[in-house]
This record gives sequence, C-alpha cells and structure tokens, in this order.
Amino acid sequence: MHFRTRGEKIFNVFNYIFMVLVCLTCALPIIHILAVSFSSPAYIAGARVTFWPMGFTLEPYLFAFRGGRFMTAFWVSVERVFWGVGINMFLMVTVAYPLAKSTQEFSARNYYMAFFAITMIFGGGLIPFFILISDIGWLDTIWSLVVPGGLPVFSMVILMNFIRALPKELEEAAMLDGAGHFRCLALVLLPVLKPALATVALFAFLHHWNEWLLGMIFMNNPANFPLQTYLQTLLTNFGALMRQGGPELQQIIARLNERAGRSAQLFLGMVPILLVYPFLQKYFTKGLVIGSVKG
Amino acid sequence: MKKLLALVLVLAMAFALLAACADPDTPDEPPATDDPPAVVDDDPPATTNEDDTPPVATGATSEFVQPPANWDEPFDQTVLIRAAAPHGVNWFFEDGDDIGNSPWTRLWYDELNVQVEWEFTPVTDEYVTRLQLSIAAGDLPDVFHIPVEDPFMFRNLVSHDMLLDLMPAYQNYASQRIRDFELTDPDTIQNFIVDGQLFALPRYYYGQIDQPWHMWVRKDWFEAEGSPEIRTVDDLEDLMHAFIDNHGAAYGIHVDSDLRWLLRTAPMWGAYIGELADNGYFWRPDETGRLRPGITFPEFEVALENWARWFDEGLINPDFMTIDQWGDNGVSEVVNARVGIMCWWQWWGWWGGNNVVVMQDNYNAYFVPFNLPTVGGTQPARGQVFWANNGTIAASADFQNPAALMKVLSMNDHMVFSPDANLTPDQLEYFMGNGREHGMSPAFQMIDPQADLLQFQHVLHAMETGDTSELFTTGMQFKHRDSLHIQEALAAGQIPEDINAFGAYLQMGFDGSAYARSQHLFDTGRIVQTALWGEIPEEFLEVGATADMLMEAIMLIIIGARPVSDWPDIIEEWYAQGGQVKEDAVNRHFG
Amino acid sequence: MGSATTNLPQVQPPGNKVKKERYFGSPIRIIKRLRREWPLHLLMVPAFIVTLIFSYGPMYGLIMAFQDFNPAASFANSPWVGLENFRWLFSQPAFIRTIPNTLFISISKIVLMTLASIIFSLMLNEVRVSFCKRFFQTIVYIPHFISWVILAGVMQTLLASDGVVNQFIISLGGDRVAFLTDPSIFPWTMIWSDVWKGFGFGTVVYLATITSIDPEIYESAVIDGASKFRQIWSITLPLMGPIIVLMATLAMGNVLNAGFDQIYNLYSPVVYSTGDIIDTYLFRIGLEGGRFAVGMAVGLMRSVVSMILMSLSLFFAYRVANYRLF
Repeated sequence: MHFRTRGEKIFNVFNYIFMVLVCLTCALPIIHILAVSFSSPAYIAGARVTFWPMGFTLEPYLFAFRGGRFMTAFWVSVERVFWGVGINMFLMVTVAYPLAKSTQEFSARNYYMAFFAITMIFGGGLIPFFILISDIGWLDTIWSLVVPGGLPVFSMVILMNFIRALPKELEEAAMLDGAGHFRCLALVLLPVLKPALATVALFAFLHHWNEWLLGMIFMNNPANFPLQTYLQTLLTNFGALMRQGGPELQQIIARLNERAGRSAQLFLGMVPILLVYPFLQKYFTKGLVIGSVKG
Repeated sequence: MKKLLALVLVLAMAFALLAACADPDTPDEPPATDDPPAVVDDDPPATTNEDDTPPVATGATSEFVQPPANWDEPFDQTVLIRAAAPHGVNWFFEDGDDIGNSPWTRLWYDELNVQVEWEFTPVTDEYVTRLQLSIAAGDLPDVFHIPVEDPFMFRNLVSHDMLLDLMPAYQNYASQRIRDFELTDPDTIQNFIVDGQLFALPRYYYGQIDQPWHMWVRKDWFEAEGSPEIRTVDDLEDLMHAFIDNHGAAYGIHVDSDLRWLLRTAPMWGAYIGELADNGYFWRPDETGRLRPGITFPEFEVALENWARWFDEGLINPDFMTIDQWGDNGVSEVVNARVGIMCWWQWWGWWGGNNVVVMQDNYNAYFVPFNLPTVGGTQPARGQVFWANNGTIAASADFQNPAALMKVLSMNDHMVFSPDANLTPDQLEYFMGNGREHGMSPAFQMIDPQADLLQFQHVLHAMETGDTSELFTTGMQFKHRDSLHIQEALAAGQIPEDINAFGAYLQMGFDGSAYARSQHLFDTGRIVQTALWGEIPEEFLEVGATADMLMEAIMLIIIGARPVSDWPDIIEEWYAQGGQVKEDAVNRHFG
Repeated sequence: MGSATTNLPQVQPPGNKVKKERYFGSPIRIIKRLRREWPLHLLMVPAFIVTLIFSYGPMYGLIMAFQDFNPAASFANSPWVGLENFRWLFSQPAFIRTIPNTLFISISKIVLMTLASIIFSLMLNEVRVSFCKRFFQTIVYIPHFISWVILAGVMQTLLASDGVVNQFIISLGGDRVAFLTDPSIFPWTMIWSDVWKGFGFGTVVYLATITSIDPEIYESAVIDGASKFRQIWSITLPLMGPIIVLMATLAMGNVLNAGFDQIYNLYSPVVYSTGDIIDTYLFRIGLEGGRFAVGMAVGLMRSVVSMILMSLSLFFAYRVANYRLF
C-alpha cells in the first residue's frame, strides 16, 4: 500500500499545491463576507472592505439577535431539523431497502419505483398544496414543513443504489442465520451504509435548515418562523420597497446596510452547517472496512 | 453497542413518523406565542388610563356589533378583526412585542375596543403570493392590504364578489380628516368605486412634491469649480468634464443597470418617459391629441443621441450595465469619489449622500440637488409627475364590522398626521420612535396626501425662523431635529455625528433642498403629468412584457452597438409586440 | 469474497435475461408472493401514504396549465383555454431564444460540474493525511452555501473592466475581457463560476462512493503491481460508474433550469441574446400578472422534457453499460 514511485511523489506534491490553490479560491469569498458582516456601512458602500473588517461593528448581528426573536426561531429550526431529518431518514431507509431488491425478490418493486419517481418530475404547484395543508389544518404547525416532503426521492435513489452496490453475501449470511427483513435491515445493512446514510442525512439536514419559503407561507404566526425564514424578514429587498417608495423607505435604508445584514445572516445560518458537517464528514472520508463486517 | 444504537435510531424515527401522522386534526400546540399580549409596560405613556387588562381573544367577537356614532368612541363589545398585511423587512419590535402585540394594537384595544389578530404577515415579497393562496383557498382575512405590486388583484376580487362595499361605513364612521383626503386628491378614490360601491380604500400617497427628480452634484467639487450656474445641458457637461479633469472622477454621470438614473435625465431634452416599467411609461398627447408613450416622441431620439455621445466621450461608466443600484456596487462609485453627478430622487441623503461624507472624511463632500437643466437654459426642465397611490385597504365580503376598520384608520391618522393630537414627547416616542409606527401596518394606515408638503413647509419655516411651535407631527419633529443637527455640524465644519441626518436636511432642511427645488417647479408650473392617471388598464394584462425589448435596444444604442436611426424600427416592433394594445387601452380609459 | 465483482450493482447479464414474471398472475401465485414479500410491502406503507397524499394529492394543479387561471375563481371556475398558455408563450420571440440559451448553459454546467466533482474527489482521495483531507473538503464545500446575491456583488467587482482579474490579464499582456457584458463570453462566465461554486458540494456523493469501495480490492491490485493511476482507472472509476451515471441522470431533471439566482443577479439586457434563460424571462414578465398559469405551463413543459431525458438516460445506462439506476 505504501510503495511510492517517483511519479506518485511528484503527483503528490502537485496534488497538495493544487488543493491549496483551489481551497484558497473557495475560502477567500467567505472571509470577505465575514469581514463585510463586521464592517460599518460607509466602508461597505465604498467597497473598501476586502478580507478584514473596516470600521468594526457588531450592529448587523445585534440586529438579528434583537428582541429575542432569534432564539425562538432558532429553536423552531432545531425542532424542524429534528423531525424533518428523522422522518426523511426513516422513510428513505424503509423505501430504499425494498426497492434495492430485484423484481424476483420483490415483485411489485417496479410499480413502487415508478410511483415515487413520478413525484420527482411532476408537481401540482403551490396553490393546491396550500389548499391541502390548509384543509388538513396544518397551517402554523411544524408538520406542514416536515411531513409533506417526508420522502426525498432524489436522496432515496442514491441510497438505494448504495444498497444495491453492497455485496449480496452480507444479507444472505444474515438470512441464513434466520434473520427476517427487518432485522437484516436494522442490524446488518444500516451499519455498513454509514457513508451513504451520512450523505443523505446531510442533504436532509441542509434542506430543512436552509429552506425558508414554505416557512413563510405556512407559518402565519411569526413566532413559528424557522430561523432562515426569520432572517429573511430582516433583509431589505430594495426592489419591493422601491415600488412602495415614500418616507418609510428612507428610514429603513438608513437603519441597516443591506450587505452587512445579508453577510451576517449568511454567516449565522451557516454556523450550524459548518458544525454538523465535520461530524458527518468522518463517515465519508475515512475508509469503511466492509471486510471486517463480513467477518 | 453500535447495533443497539442503530436499532434505537430506527425506533426513534418510527416513533417520530407515527407521532407526525397520528392525528392531523389535533396538531401539537404551537410554541407558546405572545398571545395573550403582555400588559402595557410598567409605565405606559399610552393615551389610555383605563385598566391594563390584556386583550383576550375569546371575549372578542366577529359578529356584527352596533357601532357608536363618533370615530373615537369605543365599541360596547370587543370587535375582532382578522387582518393580513405585508410585514416590512427590517421592522422590529422591542420588549417581546411583535406586529400582533405592539403599542398600536394595544391602543386600538384600549381606545376603541377593537382587537386585531393577524391572520398572516409574511415579508413584502411573499405577501402577494400568500394573499393569492388565501384567495384561491377561498379564505380571505377580514381586512387586508392590496399592495401596488398587483394592480389586477383589486378588479379580480371585485368581479368575483369577494369584497365588501365600504361606502356606508366610510361615510358614517370615518373621521372628517380622512374623508377630506378626497378633497386634496379627488381622482384617486374614484378608481375603487364601482357602481357607487367603495370596494377598497386607497392609502393615498405622501404627495406630488416627492416626485420630481433632481441633479445631485457633489458640493466640494462644485465649489472648487467656482459654483457655476447649471442652467443648460452644456453647463452640466462642462461640470462633468471639470470633475473628471480636476478632481479625479472616473466618469461624468452615474448610470445603473436599470438605466433609471439616465432615463430620468430625459426631461432635459423635453422627453418624458418616466421609467421603463411594463406597467408605466409616461403618456401624453401628441399634436393630434392621441395619447402616446414618451418613447415614441421625437425628443426621445434626441435624448438617445446625447446619451450615446456621453458614452462615447467616456462620461458614462462602460460597465454601467453591471451596476446594480440596490446591490453592492450601487453607491460605491459615488462613495468612492469616482463620480460627482447623478440624477436621483429627493432622498439621496439617506442612501449614498451620507456615506460620501464619511468615506471622503470631508464634511463638505455631500451632494446638493439642482433642478434639471435644459438645452436652452431659460427655464429648468419640467418635473415628471405620476399618479401615485400606495396600495389599498379592502375587506372580505363577509366581514361584519367595517365601522371598526374606519375607527382604527381614523385613530391612526389622528395619531400620526393630525395637528390636534397633541401627543407628549413620551407618547410620540412610545408610538413612533425607532420605527414603531410600522405597528400600524399598511392594512390600517392611510396617508395624508398633504403630508410631505406640510412637513416641508413647517420644517423649513422652523429652520428659517427658529420657531418650532408648529411642528405638530412626529415626522416634522424628527426631520427638524435632523436638519438642525446637520446645519450645526456644517456650521462648525465637522462631520456630523449622525450621518443619516443628512437625509432630512437635504430633503427639506434648507432653501436649496430637494423639496424647495420641487416646490419651485410646482410654483412656476414646470410640471408635466402622465395621462395614465389612475390604475393600469386591464388590457395591459393581455400583452406580454414590452419594456424588455426596449431596454435591450436602448442599452445597445447607448453603447454604440446599434445606431440611433434604428429607433423607429424598434418602436414599430414595440407596437407589434403589444404596445398598440396598451396605447389603445390608455386612449380608451384616459383619452 | 472481496472480489471486485461483488461490489458491482446487481445487474442481469444481458444475454441471460430472466423471463419476466407477470405481476398479476393467478390468485394462488399472488398469495404465495404476498406471503413471501409482505414485510417489504409493510416497509413501503408509510412512505406510500405520505407520497400519495402530499405529492399526488395536489397534482390536480397541473390542469392550471390549460386554464386562464384566476385565484379568485380557483380551479373549479377558471375558464379552460386549451393550449393558449403555451401558444402565447411560444409567440413571444424573447421567450424562444431563452430555450437554446437555457439548454446550453445548463448542459454545460451539468457536464463540467460532474467532471470537476469526480476529478476533485479522486484527487482528494489521494490526500493521505486525514486532517488535510477533511480540511480541504470542508473549505471547497463552503461556496455552495453562499447565496448568489452576495457572490454576484463580489464577482461584479472582480470582473469589472478595471477589476482585479482584468488588471491581471493586462499585466500578462492580454486584452481586457468583458466577462459580464460581452454576449459571447457571458454564458461561460456563468458556467465556470457555477462549477466553482458547486463542485465541492458535488464531491460529497462521489467521496462517499469511493469510501464504500472495499479496500481489499486495492490491496490485491497493489500486490499485482498496479500503479496508482492504473488503480484509479481500472478499479475506482468503474466502481463509481453507476453512481456517476445516476447523478448525471438525476441532473437531467434540471436541464431546463439553468440557475435563476445566479443569472438574475449577474446579467443585463446587453447579454440577453445569449444569457437570458427561461426562468429569468418568466420573472421579468411575471410583473404583468397571469404568472400562475403561464408558470405552470412552463413547469409542465419542463417536467415532460425532464421525463423524456431521464427515461432516455435510464434506457441507455441499462442498454449500454448495464446499469440499472431506478
């Protein structure tokens, strides 16, 4: 494993240099954004801020935190992620496992697959969706945000393909030991599927953390806004404001520089993502030794 | 261990799902909200001296309640209004308040026995969508705001009998003050009366004095050039060149990707086009009396020629099409001293005019407004005036208590605009300080169409005489305070502490301010009104976007990629693509 | 055990097709099958119900594409107009040109993004120091989360005619490049900046795939004396094949979606001829109203195109490479 040819050594040096350069281009914008979020409006308006805050201020952050609404919204988001990711993972696993079977093992598989795949492509739009949620009485409840998208078909298909790529022997051995489908899924497959589960969990987490439009539409009471929806209410959309015009506009503009606000919002929204990511990341960067599971 | 963990995880998820799907009719209680509203703070400066009992939703009724005669008398029984309005961005409330429980909702409850419950209040951009969803679901709130963004929604709702006739309530229960708005602005309310029935109340607008644009010129450079007269277009161009040659400006005049700043200079050549929006244009009669948009008049070609020449001479930034006026680089050109002249609204002092001073570290680097010059120079260019109405307030056809709406509207107008309110400074701060006036929301506030004119007159009077006794509204007091702040700083040769105060000062705080310049235009009759004086005709809906192709063509002409001589062809294409329909409609409705 | 073939997806050898069983066979066979397969059906139940209610329930909204939809009249009373919404859309010359623009930009993005993500994950996989590997991956994954509104501002500054990038080009003796205002260059600016923004996130799935490969396979290859490049070419890439094809196929669902946020924040009328896409066009005409029905007409069109493209790629993946993706 550790024989290294000359070519490989050269490649390695090149590889590291390349990585560092790529990372630099990716990191500089976020550093810039962070610097902007801590800078005074005048410097931002003058495009003077590069990679270090100018006229240091916490105002955009204080603005987001003011009035205690931030924490309320944060907990709504946590609640949403808890239920949302939980439901997503449960449904994805329960669907991906049977669908990974061949038609010999599960004769209705193709019908189910078509049933789910169609929802990936066709949708009825916002209006009937809203009417449905409203009729069920789920407006203003967390369920309107986590149940309807309960099965992310895209991620489920990825997961299903991971299951199909597993050695057949794994399952067969368990079946021979007398395990049924449920035991086999829970005790044999889930542990070896960690990289794939981490991947789809990440997608589910990101979706529920970042989505804000449905939060705005289905949550009538601002106290029920998830974090990203709440942060959206702090952003100035000058296009919309301009159509209204008038003195209100002036005060809003004077209060907060949009760019600093957006930057702060972006960063606040990203912190949990950056915290969760390394935790999941270890599952898909560290090699998984299937051999040891197979015994 | 790991296997056990996996099993527990699966079980937890299964439980989660069951809990979620179990019983949709009784969803978990939403997290505790601010409902019931907290008692008014320990030291309530509110006008009320009644007891501090918080409004209780259960006691309120949406059944019909006989209203008392006068607008300021409370109902016998608490009246409930389920309302909807856009939640402005950047509005915030303090001390656990929110839009559902603010000084204003408490005021309505305490003074009028009207309780407002917000059905939904998404931010501005999503509001129209959300309202349309409610309309489609057949579940309109009692009272709601129809924003200007959707000019067709009103007629739509009327034609489907979804709105309540507000006329009886308006005539019987609205205060004299808000009914008098009709006298100042008689045309506006007519747009919402169908067969004698008033299906929505206009919110009106702050007044025409807001509308003319000005040429903003950087003051320190201007003075260094000897404060020359800016009467002719040549004067202006000389100044642009002087700023480039002597002060390091990169360009002569600031232009953005919407071309808004450039198109607004068209009156200098006698062309009136307003903005190139699909629901706008500037309509006026040609020599035959037919109403036509400004882009079809020969003067517009002259303007185009001159803009193309400006671009060619380097007076316009070659990257102007990437300058997003509301984005990052919108004001940076100005703030970074790359340009010293721009055409803009009267409120430049709040947007970029203030930041220049800080960035240039020079108290005198602010911008001052001038009337637009003309080719001949004997008179300033005319100010363009549009029909303006800040959306409407409507009620659902099955709303029982329109009188309550009238009372709330009257109360709010009284508090904000009336000379008789006599609020103490504490009360002013409590209701309107720090942006708290937003608590009224667009669903419950009409705007005095004389507001800005009166404000300007009273503030300027106070600035010139030092007599502050006539500053009877909060707006007047705040703007006077700001203007004074700037005046003192400038006199002392210092950069003012609160640079946002430049906004009020440059708008109305001295004789050469924007409103003073506008007033001059109105006084001398140098005003031109669009003929499209009312809501956009319905026919506009039938044709597609027509401003798009114009915008593309104008930009290509300015950068020299197309000759100006193409313009008649472009106009012909515009007529073919729907311009004809629009023109016919405008002539039918306003000709 | 541990041979390369066991890791490949379960594929039926083409020549040896099992005779297809008819699902609705005799009652006895159905009962027999149910007895054997009931746990699998049971697992399907929750997702089936959720999907039926929340995905199929609102699908009647598709009829809006054939209506002159009016929210006040809702679905029941809005007049039927047949194909009028489509006819109107295709009578707009400004709309017609958005189709090739959209296809060019989105397909280029899909292809280049896939390539960039694969190459980067392979290179990242060669970084042996665990800390570095994680660090690099975290960094490149960040731009995915920065909204285009913010990035657009940064890009406009960098790519201006006197911006840093052009200064650099000129110092190398090149000519000024109008990245954002030259119609022939604008689409490429969009494509490459989007690849830059998204490739790091794209590596997540590929890296998980590489990680799932049984290390024993490499070990036996090393014993056979295979070089690193040889291992990548003969082991890693073939084993990634199905997932690559899968990701590309899923991306087909977005082929008429060339990135509204990005282009809306960076384009201008001077580049409409090559840079205006379906979504930006719809957004601009949206202010004129009627957006629901026309929007739905476009949505339906998009769905049909996606379905055709996805079906084609599924078909070819199966026929040519023997990958069964769905």
